[in-house]
This record gives sequence, structure tokens and C-alpha cells, in this order.
Amino acid sequence: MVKKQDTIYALSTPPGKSAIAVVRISGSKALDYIKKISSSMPTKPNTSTLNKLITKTGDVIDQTITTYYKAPKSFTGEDMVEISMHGGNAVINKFIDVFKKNKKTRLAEPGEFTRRSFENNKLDLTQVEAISDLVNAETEYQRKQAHSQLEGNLTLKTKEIYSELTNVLANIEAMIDFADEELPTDLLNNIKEQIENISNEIYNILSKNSKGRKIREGFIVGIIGKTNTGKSSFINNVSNQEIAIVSNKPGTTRDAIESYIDIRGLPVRFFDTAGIRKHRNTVEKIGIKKSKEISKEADLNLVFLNKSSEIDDFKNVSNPIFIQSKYDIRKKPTTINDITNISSKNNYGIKSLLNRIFHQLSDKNFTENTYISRERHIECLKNTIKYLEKSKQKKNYDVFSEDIRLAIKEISKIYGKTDIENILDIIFSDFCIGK
Amino acid sequence: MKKITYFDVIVVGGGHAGAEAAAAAARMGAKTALITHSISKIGEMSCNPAIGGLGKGHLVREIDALDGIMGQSIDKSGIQFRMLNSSRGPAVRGPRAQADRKLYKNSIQKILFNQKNLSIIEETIEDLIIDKNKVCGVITHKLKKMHCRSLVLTTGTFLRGQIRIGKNSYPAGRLGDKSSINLAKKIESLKFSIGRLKTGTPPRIYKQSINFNDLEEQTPDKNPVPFSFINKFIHIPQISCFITHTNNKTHKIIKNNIHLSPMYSGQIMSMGARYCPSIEDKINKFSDKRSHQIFLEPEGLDNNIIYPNGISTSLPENIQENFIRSIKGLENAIIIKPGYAIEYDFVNPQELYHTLETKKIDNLFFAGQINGTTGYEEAAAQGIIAGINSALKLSNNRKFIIDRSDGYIGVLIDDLVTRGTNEPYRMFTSRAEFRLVLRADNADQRLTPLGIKTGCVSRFRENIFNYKINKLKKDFSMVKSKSISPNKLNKLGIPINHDGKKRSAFELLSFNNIGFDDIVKIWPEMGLIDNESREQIIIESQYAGYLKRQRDDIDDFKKDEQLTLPNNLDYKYVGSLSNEIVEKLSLIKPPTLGAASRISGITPAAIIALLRHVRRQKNNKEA
Ligand SMILES: Nc1nc2c(ncn2[C@@H]2O[C@H](COP(=O)(O)OP(=O)(O)OP(=O)(O)O)[C@@H](O)[C@H]2O)c(=O)[nH]1
Ligand SMILES: [Mg+2]
Repeated sequence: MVKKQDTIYALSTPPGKSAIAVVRISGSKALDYIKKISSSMPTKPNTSTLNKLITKTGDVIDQTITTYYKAPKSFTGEDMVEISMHGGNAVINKFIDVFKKNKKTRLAEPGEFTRRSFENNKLDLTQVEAISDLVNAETEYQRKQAHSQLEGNLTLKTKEIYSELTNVLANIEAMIDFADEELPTDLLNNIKEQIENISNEIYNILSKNSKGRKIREGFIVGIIGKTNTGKSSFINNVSNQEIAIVSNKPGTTRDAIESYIDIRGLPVRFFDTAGIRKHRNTVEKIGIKKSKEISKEADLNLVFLNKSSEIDDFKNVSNPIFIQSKYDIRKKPTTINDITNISSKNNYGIKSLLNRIFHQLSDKNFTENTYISRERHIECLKNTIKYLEKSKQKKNYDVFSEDIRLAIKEISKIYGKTDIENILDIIFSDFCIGK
Repeated sequence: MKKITYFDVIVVGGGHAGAEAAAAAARMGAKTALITHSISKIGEMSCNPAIGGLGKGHLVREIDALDGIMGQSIDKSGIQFRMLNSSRGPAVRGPRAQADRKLYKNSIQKILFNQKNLSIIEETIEDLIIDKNKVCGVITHKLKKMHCRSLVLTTGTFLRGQIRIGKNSYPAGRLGDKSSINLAKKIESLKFSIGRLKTGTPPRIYKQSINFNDLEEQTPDKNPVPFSFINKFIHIPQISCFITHTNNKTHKIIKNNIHLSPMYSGQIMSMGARYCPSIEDKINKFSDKRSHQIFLEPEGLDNNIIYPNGISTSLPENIQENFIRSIKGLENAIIIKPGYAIEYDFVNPQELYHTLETKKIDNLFFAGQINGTTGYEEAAAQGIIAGINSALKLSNNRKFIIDRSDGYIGVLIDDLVTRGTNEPYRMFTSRAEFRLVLRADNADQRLTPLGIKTGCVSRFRENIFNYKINKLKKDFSMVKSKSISPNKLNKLGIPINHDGKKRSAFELLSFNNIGFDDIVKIWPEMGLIDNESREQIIIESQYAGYLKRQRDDIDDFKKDEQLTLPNNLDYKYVGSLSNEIVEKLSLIKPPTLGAASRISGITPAAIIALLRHVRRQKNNKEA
């Protein structure tokens, strides 16, 4: 018997740029919903149709091949629609965006499709082998994903938040289960303060890591450094045109100059900035101030150096790549590992630098593996915030604690479930309990 | 001549687990014997004189909902009733009462003596009769063979119990009593996996030697709320407790003598409970805390002993006296009985099924402290479940299992049998993931129907329950059926948003500014709804959103609990499980996929593999 459940969707091909991407939708509302955004939709089960997906406002998302599987003859045993579309990020994102806005469907949890097919008894003996492969692929995918998530700083942050929230919960539970004990008198205030801090942290992450913004606006790469280090020559080189004035006079560039470059499908905005030195006049002063602002916001900073010892002046720059240009005329090219040699005159090292920029940006933000999970992260974080905000209303401890539990449940969807033993461990190590 | 006697159920031990088990089995209609070495000690409170508390109060209410005897007895003997957390939300309220030891014991004994189907026998057990991994009787000291269908052992801390005070150490229990040693040996020979635990007690103080004059007083609740659902009022006089504190001087004395404590001299290695540390531990581990509170709890109305809760210790007697006398109010204290630490063996509860029957020996049940728990309430909760299931052995293999979404008893047993424990296990409300639904105030609504169905609830209670439930149903439907518009409300002087939405009385109660009195003003007929119903209606209304979510979660939980794993499942052949996981699952034998997922170290991938395997088996069978 097929149980009525939410309708779910997910990208089922590996995320990132590929020729074809397949999105699957499963559940009783799958067909209904896709019909609403389709030009021509198959009504006969197990047939495919050439179908344009169209948003409510009339935008065509993509031309697709759409297949409809009727329950119970589908992978999950529920009504399913499978859509093969072009594999570009823009198309996929647009599609996912449209989906996120509708209330009929939700993003699948990892493994949920497989789980449903299990639950609906879709597996007969002959299918077991095939499914076993699929399940394994899924865990392997999760393993890889877990690994790459470890490197992303968003993930590290969310892990931190998770343990902070666990602490908050432990404190609330201490007030509940050990009401007769002498707990610190300022405990409740501390808890409230912690919750405030955690929500601020999450808001921060959400505003910084909005992927949609990056797709629309491109990544920001700052080109910074002291004067006369070859910054403008570099931006001219990579954009194949003379957009910035180059001269051997230090302080040539006074205002930031932007150039949009497509690096292997990744939209990147390079900003050439005023060289940093003790300013001579107000125009330059404003320019230098702007340079610093850009470098703060940038996803990556190319720091141009005259000599390697200048590295120390740029210690506080976030996400730096240190560069010495003019390799063609240097007598003693640098051999320090952290510094990349290039030449804007003869193109030495430019290609590999662009490669590195590509990898670093995509690693940080769109690793092929973390793409969807990042989508999930953001959704989890948004839900976490929802419960934290709710917890701030005046209420009894039992529901106060429930709000925090729900917040933790959301954020721990990324890491697996919490265990009450962890909470008790924290209580007993933090407070002297026992009358 | 050896006389052979037969009972359906034999319960060994007259503590809180044993009393509850024997009463439950007898209520179920089983011919039951309670065997104890001393009838006069049945129902004795061997540790602190109180019942209930946070989490524990829930357990007592649930035991009562199954017609157990603990709640009724404390209602007849409680001398200081307090509802803990009364301002912190209905789900975490915990009824607690100081008990008059003697009255409590009397009440338990009276109930047991009057219980139909129950014989109480003063005897000690020498040996168990076991035939092909199935228990079928006991041999008592007087060398009588007694046969039974099922046997419940509730023998507390008697397994290799060792008492320690300072450098002194001697075996616990009745000194030189060989038979308890024989039974312990027998249990050891059955090769259950065994762990060792530690617990302690404080010195008892002579009441007339304490100066209460300047101490902080803790008064009883004005309107004591009974534990038992069949009681409405408490008739015992209510008295206060007093609170004092350790101080610098106390801490100094203890620090200077810490090497004399067996826990710090390396004599005791076993694990004590983190929530119930000795005063030595408190001072050592939380050295920045300047003082620790002590509750001076009376042991009875006409009793001269005070139980100083919060300073369990195993320091030598003279040091105990020294530090006690450094404490305010206790300057002239006379110690009646010194505190001590006790170490004892317990059976790893992962050896048990959810019915508390052992996996190794059929028809043998363990309940209480022997399973690694602490507390009267935890013991009694296991007792009632073991008692019911031991009686069910007579019928065609029915089982009585309360799951984690039914009650705290379910949480307790599931935690024990699926996860085991390495410290004395105590109930906390935070252990219950469905805490908002599992409240002390609705224990009867949750469990009494299950009890009636399984046969452990007397007709008397069944009638009281049915009356209450019908009344509740009627009252709920009344408040849900009548509704009113915001316009009319405002005219009646009850401010509410003009959103044009008609709301029922039930919905209106979820507003902070609307109370039941307002509702009665609008609909005078609702004035007839009594306080009991009002409380339920208000909680359900104010927590509606939370309760709905949690009930949905319970549905999901039940789904996983319904996927049963066969008892004889050979985990080696499941495939893609690590050796460690195979070992764990083979030992614990989780009854359901849900239980498997709660075992520590079991990965989601392992759960998928299990599910797949079970499905395959099932399909094979159907084909
Ligand atoms: N040979 C050689 N000369 C270079 C190279 N890059 C820059 N130069 C020269 O170095 C001088 C400074 O170059 P710019 O690109 O204007 O330097 P900048 O860092 O933008 O300087 P400011 O805008 O003043 O901060 C110019 O004379 C360039 O022609 C290179 O790769 N090789
Ligand atoms: Mg320049």
C-alpha cells in the first residue's frame, strides 16, 4: 500500500556543469504541479514528451524531455515525473528556485527517494542488486560530500552553531530537570544572550552565502597591492582589452575598474583598484579607501607584490592569492611557494592562475559535490532561525526547550541526530548537580 | 519429605520493584507468590524518604495509571507534597512528596496483604531450577522446591554488594547470610554480562540535635495534589523541610581528609551517578563552588531521624561528624548512622527484552536496581512491567510493551535494553523526546486504556477512568462546538483583533489574555466544566501547535517500531554490516528497526541494509 506523503524533488544527476541534468519529482502532487508549468505534458504513463518549462510569469526555463511514471510503476512506487534538462548552472538554479517557491513540493532529504521505494515495497529480488549499487553510490556521495563540507567554512560555522545550540539546550534542560539545584543565577540571561548571538551568526551566514546573488552578480575578485606592481596590466591582459590605464608612474589607477570575465562558466568580476601607498591627494585617498572596501567584500583577493617581503603588509587580507608580476624582466624570480609568478607581457602563468581562481571559487562555493547540499544547508539554516525566533517569545520552559530542540533538529539534519546523552554530559560537566 | 508447591508467578524480593511486580501479576489473575527474607521490610524506603520528583513523578503517575500501588501509598503517607516546576510548563511539572517511612511501608504492606491471588512468603532463595534454558522454579533455604511458570528477580544490590566507610569494608546485606551468596553465585554462573556500580548515602542525624531556628524553610504546597488518579485529596498533615549549606570550613575538613575516602584512595573504581555525587566529589570536581545546599528531610511525622540530602559520603565516621558539625544548624548534630558508599554488581540490561525477560533464560525476568537503575520509582516502573509480562506468560505469548511514545516507562526500559548504562540510570524529563505529549497530568489517558486491555487494571479503577474520559470527551466537544465572532467578543469587553474570524471557545483559550473565566462569561453553561477538564482543555489549546507536531512525529516513530526484526535473525548474513555492528546487533537483538536505530554506533547505512534484508526475507517467504 502506498502511503500518502509529501511530494519531493531533487536533482538526481551530479550537481555542477554537465550536458544534461535530471530532476525527479515524486509524490501524489508531482504530475499536477509539473503540468502547471509545462507547455505540453504527457498524460500517458511511461511516455516522454518534448516539453518547455515555463514560470508563472511566462519565462521559459528550458526545453526539456519530461517523462511521467504512474504509481505504482515507478522507482519510488509513487507518481513520478522525471525531467531531463540542459545541465547549465543557470538553468538548474532557475528550476530549483521555481520549485522552492511552491508549497506543494519540498526538497528531498538525502536518500529519501530510495527510502520511499523501500517503504513502498518496490524491491523484488531481481532489483535488489541494482538498488544496492544505487544505495552505495548514495552513501559514497554522502561520504564525499561530508569530506568536502569539512573544508568549506560555511560548514565549519554551522557545526559550531550546532554545538553552541546543544549547549543552550543543555542549559535549559538543567533548569528544567534540576530545578531544585543551585544553578547559576544568571543562567537564563546567559541562555537568552547565547540565542541572540547564534541567531545573529546565522543571519550573517545567510546574507553572505546567498548563492543566488553570486549567480546573478558574479564572484568578486579584488586586484590589490602597492602601486606599480602591475595590477592594471593584469586586468587588461585577462579581459583582452585596454580597460585600465597603464603607466610606469606609481599611483596611476585612482578609482576601481571592473571587468567581467567568464572563467569556464563561472561568472567572475575582477576589480582593479588603486595601488596602496601613503596618499598624495584626496582623490587618491578615496580610491585607496575603496580598494580596502573591495578587498573586504571580495571572494578572492589577488595581492600583487613588488617584492616578497611585502606579504607582511597584507596579512589581514581575506582569501588572498599572492602574486609577483613582470616575470619576464625579473632577474631573480621569486621561489617562495606562496607566491605565484606571472607576466602580463608574455602571458607566463596567466592561464594557470585563472585555473586556480576557478578552482578556489568553485571549491569555496560550488564544489560539484556540495552544490545541492549547500542548498539544503541554507534551507536548514533558515528553518533553524525560524525556531530560534519563536523561542524568543515569552513562554514556558517546556516549549522554550522544544523550540531549541526543533532548531537543533534542523541544523543537525546536516550531521545526523543529536543524542540526549550529549546533553546530559554537558549538564553534568558544567553544573554541580546532586542534592 | 520435600513439599512441592506451584505458583504461576514467583517474585523474589520485597523492595519497590518486587512489591509492584507481585501486585501486578496477582491483579492479572496469576497465582502469585512474593518471597522475601523479611516480610516486615516489604515496601521499606532504604534511601531517602521521598517519592517522585522531576521525571520520577511522571513514572509514579504512569505506574498508577496501570493500577500500581506506589501512587496510592505515597498519597497515604506523604508529609510534604510539592509540585516541582509548577511555573515552568505542564510537560515538565513533577509531583514530589516527602514520605513518612512507616506510613508508606504500612500502606504498601496493607495493599499486598489484601491482594487477591497473592501469597507472601518469608524465605530465602538458595537456587533456581532451570531446565533447558527455561526457569521453572526455585529452591528455598528450607529446601523446599517451588515450581513456577515465570520468575521475577528483584533483588536490588545484593550481587557482590560491598559497603565502604573510610578504610573499613564489609559485604552488604544480612551479614553472613549464605543463601544470598548462593543465589548470587547462581546468577553469576548463568554468565550474564555484569557491570559494577557505586552509590552512597549520607549520615542520618538525630532530629532533636538540630537547630532549625535560623535555617531556610521550604514549605509544602498549599493544595497538595495527589499522585494517584483515584484520589482527590490528601489527608496527611503537611510539614516543612529545612535547607542549610556547607561552607568554607566544611570544605576544608573534607579536602584535608579526602585521602581517607575510599573513592580517592583508589579502593572504589566503579562508576557512580553523575547527578548524585558524594560531597567529596562535589568539592573536588567543582572547587570554585563555595557552598553546597543540603535539604534536611524528615523521615516521618513521629520519627526522630533527619535525612540530610546532598552530602552522601564514605569518609570515616569521625570525619563525618567533624564536617557535619561545621554546618549551620548542625553544630551539635548527633549522627545516628554514618554515611557509606556501596559497590554492587548489576546485570547489563541489554541482556533483557523490552518485557524485561532475559534473553538467555526463558521465563526469567529481572526488575529494579539489579538492572543498573537507581531510585524507587525506576524500580517500581520495571516491577510493574515485569509483573504484567510474567503473568502474560500463562497465555498465548502476549506481551505488554510500553513504547517511547506511550510513556516514560517506555523511555526507561527502551533506554536500558537497547543502550545499556554505565552509571546508575535515573529518569529525567529530558530523556523523553515526546515530552510535551507525555505529561504527568495525562498519564491515565495514555496508559490506563492499555492497562485495561491487558488486564492489569481493577474494575474499581476502570470505572473511575471511564467516567473521567466520558466527561472529558463531552467537555472537549462542548468547547470546540461553540464559537463567537471578534465583534461580539469586543462588545463583551474581551479585546481581540477584528479579523472577522469566528473562533471556538477552545481556540480562544490559546490567547494569552483569555482565561476560562472569560469563556464562562460568554457561555455560562461552560461553568459546569470541572477543574480537571479545564486543565486538560487549556493545555491542549495553548500547546495545540506543538502537540500536533509531536503527535505527527509519534506517527513516524510508530512506523519504524512496526518494522519488526525477527528474534532469530542472523546478522552475519545481512551483508554490508561491519563485524562490530554484527556483534552489537546479535547481542542486543533489537525487536524493531526503530530500536536498532537507537543503539549507539549503528549507522544509517546499517539500518538501510537491515531494512533491505528483512524485505528480501519477507518477499522470499511470500513467493
Ligand atoms: N615587463 C613587464 N612590465 C610590466 C608588467 N606588468 C606591468 N608592467 C609595467 O609596470 C608598470 C606599472 O604597471 P601598472 O599595471 O600600471 O601598475 P599598477 O599596479 O596598476 O600601478 P598603480 O595603478 O599605479 O597602482 C608599467 O610601466 C607596466 O608597463 C609585466 O608583466 N612585465
Ligand atoms: Mg593601476
